[in-house]
Order: sequence, then C-alpha cells, then structure tokens
Amino acid sequence: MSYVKYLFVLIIFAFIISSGIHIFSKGFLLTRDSRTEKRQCDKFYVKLDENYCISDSDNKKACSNQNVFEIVSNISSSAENLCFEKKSKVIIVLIDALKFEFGVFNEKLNDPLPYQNKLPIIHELLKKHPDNSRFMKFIADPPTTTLQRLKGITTGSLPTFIDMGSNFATPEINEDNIIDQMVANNLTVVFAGDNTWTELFPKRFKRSYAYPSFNIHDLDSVDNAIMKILPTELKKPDWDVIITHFLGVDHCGHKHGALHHEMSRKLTEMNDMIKMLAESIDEDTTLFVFGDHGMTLPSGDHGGATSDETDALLFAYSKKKFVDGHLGHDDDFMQQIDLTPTLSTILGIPIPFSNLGTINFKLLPDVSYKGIKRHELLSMHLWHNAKQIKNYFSTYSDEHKDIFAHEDLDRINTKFEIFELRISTIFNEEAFKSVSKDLRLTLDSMLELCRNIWINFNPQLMVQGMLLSFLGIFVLFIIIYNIPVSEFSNIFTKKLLVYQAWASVIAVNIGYVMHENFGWDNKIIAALFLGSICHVLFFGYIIIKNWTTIVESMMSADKFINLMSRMSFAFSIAVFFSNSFIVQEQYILCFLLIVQIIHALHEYRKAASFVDMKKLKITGLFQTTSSKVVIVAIITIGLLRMSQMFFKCREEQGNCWDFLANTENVAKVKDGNMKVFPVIILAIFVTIVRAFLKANGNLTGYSPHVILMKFGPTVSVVAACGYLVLSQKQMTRPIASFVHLDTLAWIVYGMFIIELIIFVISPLLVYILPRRDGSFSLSDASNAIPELYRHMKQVINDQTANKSQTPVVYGLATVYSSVFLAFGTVLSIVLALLLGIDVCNGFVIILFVGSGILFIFSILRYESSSSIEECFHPSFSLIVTWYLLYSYGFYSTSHQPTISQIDWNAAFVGRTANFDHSNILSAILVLLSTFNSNVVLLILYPLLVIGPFMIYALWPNMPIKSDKKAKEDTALNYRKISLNDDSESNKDMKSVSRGEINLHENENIFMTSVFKVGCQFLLLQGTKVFASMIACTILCRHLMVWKIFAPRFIYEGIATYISFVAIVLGFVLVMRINRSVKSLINKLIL
Amino acid sequence: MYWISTTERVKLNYAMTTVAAIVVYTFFVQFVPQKLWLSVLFFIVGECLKVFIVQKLYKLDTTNNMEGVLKRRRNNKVMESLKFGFVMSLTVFFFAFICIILGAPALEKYLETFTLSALLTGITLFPISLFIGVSGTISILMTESFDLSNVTAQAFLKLLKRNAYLVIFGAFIGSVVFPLDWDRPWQIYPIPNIVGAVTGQMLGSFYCLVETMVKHKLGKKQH
Repeated sequence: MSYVKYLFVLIIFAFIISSGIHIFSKGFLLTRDSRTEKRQCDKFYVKLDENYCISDSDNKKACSNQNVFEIVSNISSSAENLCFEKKSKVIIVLIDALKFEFGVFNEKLNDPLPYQNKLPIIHELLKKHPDNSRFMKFIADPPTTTLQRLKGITTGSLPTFIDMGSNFATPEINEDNIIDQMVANNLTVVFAGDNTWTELFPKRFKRSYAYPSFNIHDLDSVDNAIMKILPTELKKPDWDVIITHFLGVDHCGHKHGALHHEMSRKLTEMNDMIKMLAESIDEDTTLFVFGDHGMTLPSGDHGGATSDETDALLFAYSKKKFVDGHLGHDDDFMQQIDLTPTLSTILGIPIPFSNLGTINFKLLPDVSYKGIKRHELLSMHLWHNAKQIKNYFSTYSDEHKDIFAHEDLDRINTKFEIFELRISTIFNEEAFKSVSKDLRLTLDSMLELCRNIWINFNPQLMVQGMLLSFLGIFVLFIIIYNIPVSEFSNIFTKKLLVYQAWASVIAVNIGYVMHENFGWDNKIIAALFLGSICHVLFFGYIIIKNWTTIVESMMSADKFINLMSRMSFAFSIAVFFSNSFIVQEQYILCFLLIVQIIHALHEYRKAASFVDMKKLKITGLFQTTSSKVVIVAIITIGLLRMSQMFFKCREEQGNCWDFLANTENVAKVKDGNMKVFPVIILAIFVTIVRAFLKANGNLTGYSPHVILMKFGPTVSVVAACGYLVLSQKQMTRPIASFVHLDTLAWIVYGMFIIELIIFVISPLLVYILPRRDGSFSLSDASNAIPELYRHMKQVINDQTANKSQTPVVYGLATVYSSVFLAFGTVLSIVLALLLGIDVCNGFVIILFVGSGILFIFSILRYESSSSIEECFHPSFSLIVTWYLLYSYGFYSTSHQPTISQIDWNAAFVGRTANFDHSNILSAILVLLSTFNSNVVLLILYPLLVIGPFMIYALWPNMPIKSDKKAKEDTALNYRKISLNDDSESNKDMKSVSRGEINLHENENIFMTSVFKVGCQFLLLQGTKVFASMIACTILCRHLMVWKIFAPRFIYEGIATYISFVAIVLGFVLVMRINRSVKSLINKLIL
Repeated sequence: MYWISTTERVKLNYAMTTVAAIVVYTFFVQFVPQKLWLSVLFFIVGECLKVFIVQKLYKLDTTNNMEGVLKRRRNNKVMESLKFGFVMSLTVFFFAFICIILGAPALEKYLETFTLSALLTGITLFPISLFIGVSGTISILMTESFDLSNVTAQAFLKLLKRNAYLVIFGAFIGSVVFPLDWDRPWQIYPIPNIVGAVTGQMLGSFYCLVETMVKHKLGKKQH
C-alpha cells in the first residue's frame, strides 16, 4: 500500500495555509526598497565679477570666464546638479514630542493648562521680528515614533516597516541622508542628546555627546547634560551644524501625561533654552526648533496617526531675514519630509537621493548671489528639488514594474516635459509663483502615489489571505477530527487526488494568465489564491461525501475532553492580541509547558493509581514506574527552568541591554576565560544517544548507516566542539587560520550530507545475524538488548530442540526510532554549531526536555490506552506540549521576535575564509539557527507515535499496569509476541513487549496515525499564525504595531513555513523507513 | 418539617458560610504586601470555623473504606496533631515548590511565595484534613478510591474537593495579569493569585448553591 497520497494531502494543506500567509503578508507588510545611491552635485560659486566657478565632486575647481547669465538662462539643464554656497550655519533643536499646541500663545487665557502658554519666547520673537521668525505646524507621517521620524526627517522619505535592503543588524541608515551629505561636503556636525542618533549615524559627528534614552522615568539628566554642553559648543568656531535632541518633554508625557505640572516645568526650561539660543546666535546662523511628533492629550502617548500625534511644532529664527512668505507656500503648515530639502538648500548640499519632500522657501534665509535675481535663484532650487524627486521616482518605478499604474507614470512624465520648458522661461516673481504652484501640485501627487504604496495597507489582500488560511484550517479540522482514522485510506482515494492535482494546476494557470479579469494586480497572488481555493473545494467535496460520518462523530464527541490542553493552546495563541503578552511570551510559554507536564502527571496519577496503598513499601518506592515518571518530570521541569538562563531580553522588557549587543557603543562584557562547559554538555548529549543506540543493538554490524553512526556523530561533535571553542577568540586574536576553522565546520556539514545520502540508500540500523548451524558465540550478545538476548537463547534452545531457523536481528525492537534518533543527532550537531557557544546548550536542553516529555507521555499513553488504536495515537495534550516546546525553543536559544535581533552569525559559520556571497546559503543557515527547535522537533515528530513502543522496547521489564487493570483489559493482546506466525512455542515471552515490530504489523494504523499527527501539527501551527493575522488586522493602527505585532507576525509566518517543511520531511522519513522495514521483514520471512 | 435533606442542608450551610466569610473578607482586606499574612490568618480561622460548625450541627460520620489499611489510632491525640502539622507544612512546601517552578522568583520573594502557598493550603487541604483526618487526606491524594461510608459526609467531602480544585485553578488563572504592562499596584506577585484563589472558592460556593437548589427542585418534581 502506498502512503504517497497522505504525503500529498499534507503538502496540499501546507500549501493552502502557506499561500494564505503569503497573500496576507503582501497586503499587510508594507515594504520599500531602500536605495543606496548617493547624490552628488557641483559646487557653484559666483565671483565678484559675475563670472562663476564650478567645483565638481572631486573638488577640482573650474572657473570660467562666462557670465552667470549662462547658467541662469538655462535652468532646466543646469540646475539639476548645482549646489550653491552655504547660506547660513544651522542649529537644530529637536525637542521630542513638542506638540503644536505647546507653542500657541494665547494672552487671553487666565487659567492656562500645564502645557499652555509655556513657550512665550516664540510669541515674542514672532511679534518683534515677523520677518526673521517662522512658526508653523509640522506634520509627521505615521508611525509617529522617534526612530521612524528621525529616519523620515534625515532621508526625506516615507518610512515603512521594512526598508528592504537595509542592514537589519544595526539600525544604521544606509540610504542617502542629510547627515551623510553634510559629512561628504566637509561640513562639521556636532551632536548632543538622544543616542538614537549615534546609532543611526555612527561616526558621522565631529563631536557627539550621546546619552541613553531608555529610562522613561528620568526627565532631566539628558536635558541637563545638553544644556551644560551647548553654551561651550556655541562658542567654538568650527561647527557648521549643531544638532541637539531633548528628551524631557517626551519622557514627561510618557510618565505623567500632558496635564501634569512637571510638563509646565519642562516646557519652561525649553523656553529658557530657546531664549538663550535666540540671543546668542550670530548673524550667520539659523535656528530650527521642532518636535518630531506630538502626543495624545492627556495621556502623553504617541505612535499612531491621529492629528494629536502627528502635529508637531516648527519654529525657525534667524537674525537674517527669511524669504518672503508670498513666494513660497502660503500655508502655515509643512510636512516633516519638507525639512530635508530645505536644510539641504540652506547648507548648500545635494538633496538626498530618496527624498520626497519639497523645499519650503519661507524657511530659506534671504541670501542673494551677485548676478542672480531672487526668482532665478529660487527656481534653480526648485528645479534641483523637482529633478531629484523625478529621478528617484523613475529609478524606483523602473526597478519595480508593477508598483505604479502606467497611466500615472505617463501623466507625470508628460507634465515634467512641460515643466522643463516652463522653468526656463520664468522672467519675474509672478511667473515663478505660478510655475512653482503647479510644480508643487505635481510633486504632491507623486508623494501621494508613494504614500499609497508605502503607508496604506491593502485590505483586499489581507482579507483574502485570512480567508484562505481560515478555509484551510477549517477544512483540515473537520476532516481530521471527525472522520475515524481507519477511514482515511478510503476517503483520500488516488483517483480523487489526481483529479484534484490537475484541477488545481488548471486553476493556477487561469489565475496566472487572467489575473486582471479577477481584479488582482499580481499574477502570483492570483495563481496562489485560485489554486488554493480549488483544493479547498475538493476537500469540501470530501466533507460533503462523508457528511453522515462527520455529523455522527460531532454529535457523539465529548465536549469537555482535553480541557487543560485546549486552554493551554488557546492561551498560547491569545498571546498575539496583547503587546505585553508578546513581550513576555517566553515566560508564558515556559509556564504553559510546566503546567502541561504537571497536568500529565495528574492524569498519570488518575490512570495508573499512583501508589498502591495496600502494598506500599518504602524500599520499593524508587523502582516503580510511577517514581521514574515523577523523577523524569522533576528533571524536565528543572531543565526548563534552567533554560531561562539562555533568554535574551528585548527592549520593551526594561533593564535590558541585549538588543544593543550588535551596535558598537556597548562594550561587550565578557570574561576572559574560554567557555568549555557548553562543549562538554554537547559531547555528553551525543554520548547518551550513542549509548542508547548501542544498548538497543543498533550499532552492530557493517551496514553503511551503522558504520556512519558508529563514528559519524563522534567525529562531528569533536569538530563542532573544536570550532565552537576556537572561534570564541578568533575575532580578537586569531588562534588558528580561518581555513582550518572552516574545515572543522565543513566536517560537520559534510557529515550531515553523508547522513542524508545514506539515509536515502539504506536507512535501517539493524544487523541480521548470519545463520549458522548450531554454533555461534554468545559473546556478541553483550550489545543486544535484553529481549534479543533472550530471543537468542530461545533460538539456541530451539536449535538444540528442533533446529528451527529463527532469524536473529539486532536492533529490530527500535528499528524505527533508532533511525530517527540517528538523523536527529547529526542534524542537532549542525544546529548546535550554527547557534554558537553561548546558546547551543539552550538547544541541547530543549532536546533533553523533549525526550523527557516523550517519556512521560508515552508511559501515560500506554497506561491509559485500552486498545491498540488508542495506543498508536498520541493524545492531544502530548501534541500541544510538543507544540509549546518547539515554540519555546525559539526563546530558549536566545532569540527574540524583533527585527534588530536576528542572529546573523550563523550565516558565517564555516564561510569566513572565503565568503562566497551566496545569499541563499546564508538565508538557509540563519533560518536553521533561528528556528532550530521547529526544524528538529517537527522532523522528529513521528517519534510521538513511536514513543510507547520505543520505551517498552528499552525497558521490557518495566512493570506494566496494576494487576487489577490488566485483568480488566482484554484488549491487551498487542503485547503478545508473535515474530513468526507459529508463535505457539514462545509462550513464555508473552509479557515481553515487542517493541516497534508492533508498528510494522499494524503498518496501516501506524502510518495513518503519523499522518494524523502531522495534520494536527499543521492545524495547530496554522491556527497560531491565523491568530497572529487576526491580531495584526485588528491592531493595525495600534501604537506598537510596527515594533511588536508586525515582527511577531513575520517570525510566526516564517516559523510556519519552516514547520510545514519539517512536518512534510518527517513524513517522508517515516515513509522511507517503513519501506525499508517492509523489505527487511520480507527478507527475513522468506 | 425537614423537607430539605441533610445533605442539602450541609451543602447550603457550607456554601453560605463561605460566601459570608468572603463578604466579610472584602470589608477589611488590604492588598498591601506587608499585610497579606492577615488574609491567610483570616482564611485559616474561617475554614476552622466552617468545618467546626458543620461538624457541630450535623455530626457527620467520617469512617471510610480505607479504615483497615490506614491503621488509625484515634486515641493518640498528640501524635495525630504532630502528624497534622507535619503534613500541612509539607503541603505548604509543596505549593511553594509548584509556585517556584511555575515562575515565581525563587529567592527574593520567598515571603510572598510562602504567604501564597500557606493560603492555598489553608483553603484546600486544611479543611479536608480537619474533616477526615490526615491519614484520610493522604489516601485521597494517593488513590482515587477513597470513599466515606456516610452519604452526607461523602457529599460534603466531594464539595470540599471540588472547592480545592477551583481554588487551585483560580490561583493558576490569576497569573494571567502578570505580563501586562499596566503598572498597577495590584499586579505585584502574590496578589492576583490570592484574588484568583478566593474567587475560585467563591465560584465553587455559588455553584454549590445553585446546584443544590436546582437539584432540590428537580427532586420535588419527581415526587
């Protein structure tokens, strides 16, 4: 009988749910490719005689004798790459969360609120010098969090959640930005304040005074430190730009809210500071005071998109006059991204490549150059800006064909051609005003286009994705839980599946070709959607066909079974709906796991009547099965608690520095000693597995896999340990050459590859003792498990009696599990190597905990099952526990679902000497190390089915059930031994467990059980990721969506893909082993 | 005159006294970490009183089917009370152990852990032990097949057992609020668990009240 159809069904369900995730993420995760191009421009000087000089980017000065008029008369071609001289120096005072209302002065207020009328200096300066000061609303793009805002202000682009191509490991900005441009153009930048800046722009500032911003309860220390530095810095002559970032107001908002009296104190301090600056700046300096975002009233939070949060304040003051208001915008508000080109223009540097903002002329100091009229100067600036935006827009749309609609692109191109003519024909200020107005409208429409693709969700795709996942999960649930296991081979007929495959292929093609007719923009999404829907329809047909069975089993099902496991599961997916639960998820999972184990103990107590009071003896207490279970449970729980040592914390947990480990400014606190202890644990782990295999007789003989398992893991672990120990100090002080280190890593990889190959060729770890006539030495038997030992004795007895030809096979009792263990061990060593020395023990702990759980639940299942079908199928609580364990493994191996905390080191294991720059290989290595527990535990999931048979093969003498119960159970005949059908002679072995040969004899039930368990894992994982999708949809305007919910969804989505692959792989392994076992048994019987 | 059966009266009596005790408790409870031991004291005294009242009024017979096995010597009061104290403190340590493996800080909050586990012992195992004695309690824990021969006593024991389950469940559910970042004073470690435990006990009482009433009504209809 072929089980390929089960495999096929597994893959289809995985496909449906995965395409749901994919479609959802296309609608939810807004991505933007960050461009790394830097813009350059030629410096343009006007000499006294109205001739000009141009120095290009290499600082080569080329002066011509031509008049400036040459340039000015040909703006459309000349202005694009020209930068003027610096108009003034700039002081930027960024006051975090300076809301617009804070600056509005209302004299009539008798009883001002704590935040009102606290910045009178703005009002004073506006009144006294209306031409020298500007005050306006400064509108931010959501998300209104400081980091995103800083990115927006410095690059002039719309920040999205994932800026593809940017470096995840550090928050450093790699897009073109004004700070980089300042440095490139030899301007001196001084910084004081929030250390977010130095993380974004490391090593850019001539002098930087950065202070940590974590402590929200600290209102003053950062501000006071800046205030101490500022006056001395002002006096120094060398700076061109000073940037200060005050945190007090923001922290006050977070801690006390906007209506607290502390707020008025902080604002008054800010007022004094602005006053001091306004008095002390010289003629040649422009002062900008602004907030990066607002805050809600009265709670003082920010992050969302309400006008309270987006409307910040901008105040500019200069001793020089600004350009007349009527030449620029008449509005009293500006977009935050408009500040980028404005600052660039003031400082005479090129506008950053990906800027989308337009220059606000009201904020330009009115500097004139000889021979250039004001409207000419402004139109040159404007054209420089417009060409830059057009350039970015074209580059981006060339790269991503489908992103913008063709009509829009055509319209913009036509308009620009017209503007190119118009810009050169400006002859006076009135003409400039009209051209400028039209050009601005076009630029705004381009900004709007970008905003649509980078800021707005696509609800259609999100709904479709959720719908698909839901349908997949729902159909899977109905089929798996309501149709008896024995029916599976009848309902999934080969014919139906073939039809299904062809139908879906047709549906995929229809979707791919005719996607526009169905309203999709994207071919692949249409194909995925239609293909999946087609599969769902076919499964729907199966449901309808088996409707009576399903309804009957639904009606008869006990509504309250597995209450505890269901609650644990429900709780583990409810985590997605609260940010604080996501932040603390590691502890929650640990808690649930321990609860599951305790509950299993409780169940065991019920099933096996813990201690027989009538026969209780203290001496025998530690030999009973119950005491073994309790001891294993305590050790397992202890290990789980220990694994918390390997947690990495995240920013939101408070008092946490782990998330900064990647950036340079936190010195790594490391003890000088090499870490050796983890390596020992790793070696012990491998030794235990080997001892287990040896005790079961799986390491006897000369088959290729046996030989590999004899030496492979040992070699592999030695190489891995060598690598782990040596690479600790390699970075600081090379010990071995990189090539040698890499060789060690490649030995481990190679061993895994050999294992894979051998697995395909001949997976079994058994040894058939050659039949001899009457004489063979018993000394070999020291390796065999006791039952086989006895079996051999039996054989000898038989041989002396009637010369029967009973075959002797080593390792037959663990024929399935041994292969899984072997494979799992080699894979685990690879993963431990990838995880590195600090973390690999967390992984080993997970493996130990996994075996502990397997032990407890296997015994529980064996004790409580009343028929062989029941014993074959793992209980729901075991599946939930396994699921919790692999979810927990992510955290216990020092991972956190935040974008900045991806562990990139794994990508370089074994590739340091000559890095091949293969992104696919790097991605595989990083994914393997990040989702290690998903990979290992789900590939090994068939062990859950094999479990009881494995345990009782290992300890055949384990006391089995209390006598009373054993008598009641008439269905216990599956314990009887019947290797050969004429087992009448083996009556004395009746009580001995036969190990995993049972599995082969009930091959059909076994494979169906494995299939069902696989489906259950698909179901659990699918439900989990579906919950994550719902949470993201409900909370898509939540404050923390980009910081907590969306990264969690991404991690869960990737984990789901990987889990599905692992489940399918696990099933393939079982199929392969099963086939080999079948041929082995056939060989034996013949 | 007694149209309510004794079993029902025992149940109602216990449920009413429990609810009354919790109502009294709400009047002077202070969720200040330093004063939590007062709650423990209150509940231990309360349980004593409740079981005492029930025993005084109905004089339930607590002979059980394990009589022969347990070899109880009722006459030795000193030994019995020593054993009682030993088992109770063992239970406290057991609960503390469970608290710690489920995530309570092992060392720095040991007083709180102790308070919580004392409270849990006080409203789960303590009344049961008061009612049927220590040996009976142990055999309940170890085997499933412990029965009292008196029907009313058995019903009362069942009620106590269910209450104990609900209390533990409530304390377990109480942990839900810990991860929330609300920074409320009542989120400090043992308070949600204590509230959960007390809530569990109260729910148990209410359930018992309703159950008794419904069953009584059904019983009357049948007649």
